[in-house]
Amino acid sequence: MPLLSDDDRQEIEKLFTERLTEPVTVHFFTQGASPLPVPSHPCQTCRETGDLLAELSELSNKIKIVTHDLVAEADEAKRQGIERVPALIFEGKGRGKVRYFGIPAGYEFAVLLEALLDASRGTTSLSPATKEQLAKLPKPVHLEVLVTPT
Amino acid sequence: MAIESPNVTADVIEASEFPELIQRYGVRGVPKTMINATEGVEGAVPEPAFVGRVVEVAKR
Repeated sequence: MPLLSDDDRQEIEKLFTERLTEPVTVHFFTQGASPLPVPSHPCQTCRETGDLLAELSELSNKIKIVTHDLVAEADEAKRQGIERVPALIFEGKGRGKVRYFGIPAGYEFAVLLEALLDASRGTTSLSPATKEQLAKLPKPVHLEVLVTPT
Repeated sequence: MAIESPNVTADVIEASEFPELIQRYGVRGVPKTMINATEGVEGAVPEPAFVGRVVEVAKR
């Protein structure tokens, strides 16, 4: 059964047509494709996250999903700093790195859509003053926003 | 902010899936934003105040 209702699909397709103007690649790190599961780290939401991404990518030809296995592609995971799954990296016109860990469900689904749109266009609604401050950042900064879906 | 600056990596983390982070960062409510894993910002903060904190931490 699809995760997105027909109404959702129509709304999102319209949003993507209007605002997802440039290509965006989502690197999806998951677990389970490997024949050797890691019993201590069962990924509860990997499959559903993958299904959700697949359904979204059907709604725009600008979205490309590249799936990586955390275990089988350990080198790539390490290079990208991915230690937990499910993990998404949004690759588009953004200058820094935007990532999502866990399943973007409930209220967080809107965050996923915004991340896709922002990464696609490489622009945000941040104020000119904020952009000026960010341009002067002397060193790399790592932000981790902890959220819950409800 | 990570869209605008090459110096920013921004992660959104579904906390209930990663309880070890709730413990490590002492999360009592969401949203909570960690800056370089050391500085915690609770709740939603106005943009100018938040970027101020980020710049402050980056200067250390």
